[in-house]
Amino acid sequence: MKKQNFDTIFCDALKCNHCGLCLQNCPAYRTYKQEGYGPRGRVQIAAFLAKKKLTLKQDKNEILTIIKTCQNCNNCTVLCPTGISPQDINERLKNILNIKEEEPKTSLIKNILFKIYFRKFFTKKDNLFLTSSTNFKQIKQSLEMLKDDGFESTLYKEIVTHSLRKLPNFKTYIFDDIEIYRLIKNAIIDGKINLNPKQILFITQILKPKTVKLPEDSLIILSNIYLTQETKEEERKLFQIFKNKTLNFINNRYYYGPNYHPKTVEYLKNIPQKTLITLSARENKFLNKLIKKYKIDKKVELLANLLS
Amino acid sequence: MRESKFKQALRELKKILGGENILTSKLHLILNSYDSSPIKARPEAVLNIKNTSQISPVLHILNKYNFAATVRMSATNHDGACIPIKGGFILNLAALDKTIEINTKENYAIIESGVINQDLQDILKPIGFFFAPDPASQTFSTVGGNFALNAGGAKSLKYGASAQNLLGAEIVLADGTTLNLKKEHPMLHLLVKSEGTLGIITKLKVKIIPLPTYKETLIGGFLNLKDTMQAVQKIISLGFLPSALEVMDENALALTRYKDTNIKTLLITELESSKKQIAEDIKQIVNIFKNNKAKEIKTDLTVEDLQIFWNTRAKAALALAKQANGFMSFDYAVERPKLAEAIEFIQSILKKYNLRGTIVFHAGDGNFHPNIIFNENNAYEANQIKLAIKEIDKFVFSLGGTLSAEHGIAVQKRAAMNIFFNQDTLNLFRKIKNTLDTNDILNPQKILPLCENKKQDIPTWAEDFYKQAKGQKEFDFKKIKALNKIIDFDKENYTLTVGAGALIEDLNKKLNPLKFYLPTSQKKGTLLDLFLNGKDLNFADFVTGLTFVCGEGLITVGGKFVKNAAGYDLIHLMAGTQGAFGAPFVFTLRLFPQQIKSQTNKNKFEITETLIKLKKVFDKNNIFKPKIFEGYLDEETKL
Ligand SMILES: Cc1cc2nc3c(=O)[nH]c(=O)nc-3n(C[C@H](O)[C@H](O)[C@H](O)COP(=O)(O)OP(=O)(O)OC[C@H]3O[C@@H](n4cnc5c(N)ncnc54)[C@H](O)[C@@H]3O)c2cc1C
Ligand code: SF4
Ligand code: SF4
Repeated sequence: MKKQNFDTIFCDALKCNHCGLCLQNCPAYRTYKQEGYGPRGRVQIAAFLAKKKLTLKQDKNEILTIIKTCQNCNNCTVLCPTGISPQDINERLKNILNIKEEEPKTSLIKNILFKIYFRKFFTKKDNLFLTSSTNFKQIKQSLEMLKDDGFESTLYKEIVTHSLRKLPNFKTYIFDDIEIYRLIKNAIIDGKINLNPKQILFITQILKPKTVKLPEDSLIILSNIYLTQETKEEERKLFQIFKNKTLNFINNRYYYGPNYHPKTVEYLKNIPQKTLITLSARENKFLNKLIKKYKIDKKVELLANLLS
Repeated sequence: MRESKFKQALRELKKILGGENILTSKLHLILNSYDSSPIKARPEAVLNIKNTSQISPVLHILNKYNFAATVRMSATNHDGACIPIKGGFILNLAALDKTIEINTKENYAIIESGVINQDLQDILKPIGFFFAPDPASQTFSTVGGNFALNAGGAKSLKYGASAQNLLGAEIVLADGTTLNLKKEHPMLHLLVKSEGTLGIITKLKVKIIPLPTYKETLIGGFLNLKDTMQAVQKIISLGFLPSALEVMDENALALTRYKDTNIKTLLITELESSKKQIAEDIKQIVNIFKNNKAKEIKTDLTVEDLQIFWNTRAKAALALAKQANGFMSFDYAVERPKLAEAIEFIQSILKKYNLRGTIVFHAGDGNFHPNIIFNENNAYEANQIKLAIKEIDKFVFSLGGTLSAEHGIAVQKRAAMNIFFNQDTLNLFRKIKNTLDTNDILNPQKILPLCENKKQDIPTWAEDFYKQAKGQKEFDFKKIKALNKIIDFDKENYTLTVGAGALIEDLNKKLNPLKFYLPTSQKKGTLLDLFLNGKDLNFADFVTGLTFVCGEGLITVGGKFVKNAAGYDLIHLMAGTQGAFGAPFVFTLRLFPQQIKSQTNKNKFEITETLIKLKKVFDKNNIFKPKIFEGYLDEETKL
């Protein structure tokens, strides 16, 4: 490892006053419930490195374990009052420790999560989704796919301060780029844009990861419309990641792939769980049909309904 | 020696927790060395507790080997409460986050102590309920942390701070004994609100309240603080009980769109009741605003508007933080009419010492937070803060205020306890701690000052009682009947300070025609009887100040302020033990603009081993109501 000047690399971490505001919606903290895994802990690791109270040699493995658990959701960045981005600091730690990006960085994945957690939100026509130009195509595609389930939302490309003023009136504006989000938020606080700060949201703010209490004895059916014969390789990969994340969020049993499978009926009859939880409306319909037709004694619930 | 003891303790702990839940790497120790205050110290190990049943055996081991045990939740307290200043073990209880029962028929919830306040709210809201304690840190602090420090927020004026929403708890004492305490148990409040120095809370039974049917918020913009506070005074003295009454001052407004206007303070008034009633109330309050020279009055607020106000209020202090890496939040309360005076004084002190900060306050209950920022590496600035705080402490004391309304004492304010409490009281606190935690392992070196420097004067009227209390003969409670005078009836502050012998009937005759009501629906007997006979379960919740004698001397706790988080809660203990721990002389009571309903209870309290130990601290000669503990106090008696 090269000699690093941590006090310059992490000079922002030294501004942290350990208030803990960033802890509130951090999925990693909520999963592990330990200081190190929360954004404050990540920032403090950097701060202690900068203050030379910690070295990377000593507890490298433990630091590695921690920094790998960040979900890059940026909930922390949205919340920090001193303007620190714990997510970014975590990225810098990753760089220093040479951790390769395992997950393709794309907002498509966020969209899939989007759909699951905030179905209701997305069916509202008064929300405007603003995306950076690099993500535009992908997001547009995925929104098209979601239309099937009754999603309707307006999509806008490329947004900077001055053009936001010209946008049509919406109740909420959702951003998928943290930098632009921060820019706009500051502009609002400074009175340059006449909007209420509550009207603008960063994508993950509406994806608040919560541990959801599913009915006892339930099973999540994870196969869904994204996994069909035609599913592209990239989407398959994303689905895999998405599956892991979902499990992380909802902490529950799951079964993967009974859809369109000849043995599905048999399988459903034999599993011990009473409630089947599906992620998409289409699949919900499909399973309900099966259950009626073959008189299977199960209940089918839509995850989104359980969440709201 | 210590080293080998430590290793042995770790071995035994491993059997209970599993090796993966015991952290000893430098990384994790350093990550558990801070909270939201500038105080720092590293533990020697961190224990991740995953199950409430692990706490008792863990404490058993730590007590055996004499290692400190400090509970840590979200670590958002402002006074070093979860810093292991004596080293030892951090018990990380954040993973104890299960909701055990929600009962909407009897309006309670049973939860583990690590549940995040907001998570509880999120569970309750869809079923039409809420949990009243609402610290600004609600979204990330835990209910256990809230109760341990008696946290409160905007809604406390109407619904009380954490303490008033407590119905029971499961607590583990230093030696590993698990206690299941119901609301009527005398030690419930003492143990729960002890900042983790007397016991560890595993589970809590808390009050849940149906969501109000109708809610409206009014905002008034004023040119100066004085006008604002006059409006507050008027609102309260007309008998309104807003669910929140908050003021944002100039510095806080500078962070909002009011930045460049001539509006210097905002008064936010939240009302809850029926639609018709609210319409009338609003008319009146708008008039109060106008009469006190409000420049801007907003009534038709949207939900989003409101959210901004609350958010700005919650984050105002922290936006300050942008400017420096050190942040301290203090937390005093004075009687409401003196609030403006206190704030002006503090503003002048901040100027005098050249400190940067804001003062955020809950106007309704007289609670205010000077939030000061500084540079961690600047020793000069740190010293200036010390000097400034010393002056403020003394001034607040001279106004009859409290050192902490909702943040607790811990390390940050323990030295100032000498200013606010008399010597007998501090000695009693110390003895309580030593008795319940003989090896001083639970969150050691918190709350109590390390050295004392004060002599105590006994007022002449109390001399006789004082002598009696120190004597050997049975204490004559009848004599207290003569203490029946009203000492202070503060109409603006809605408090009454009165001798314990006063008759409820007499008081009602004086108060009711003026539209003031005692915090009970009982009609007969003296206040002393009411306090001690256990017939009104909630009465002690509204006793904000108490002077009593016990074997330890003349004890005074609390005062004319609605919220209090300084020192141990002896008020509920005295009420619950029905006179066996000492004799109350003077009460300060909260008054109400309407009659309130009492909850009656006839249960006698249960005499447990722990209670016997405490009895010996308060009254070793058994001269107070000697019958109650008769036969329990001999050395050999074991239950
Ligand atoms: C931005 C901000 C705003 C705040 N606003 C408010 C406010 O409006 N009102 C207010 O009252 N406070 C406020 N606070 C202070 C703080 O959030 C509260 O004191 C909160 O109750 C602390 O909870 P916690 O979970 O962080 O507990 P911690 O800080 O982890 O612990 C606090 C203390 O309680 C003890 N403790 C915790 N759990 C247990 C248990 N189970 N058994 C025994 N002891 C235990 C700990 O040992 C420690 O002494 C604020 C803090 C911040 C950073
Ligand atoms: S980016 Fe998300 S997961 Fe990572 S620290 Fe921030 S809140 Fe936690
Ligand atoms: S919110 Fe910001 S200042 Fe507060 S603990 Fe997190 S990173 Fe530090």
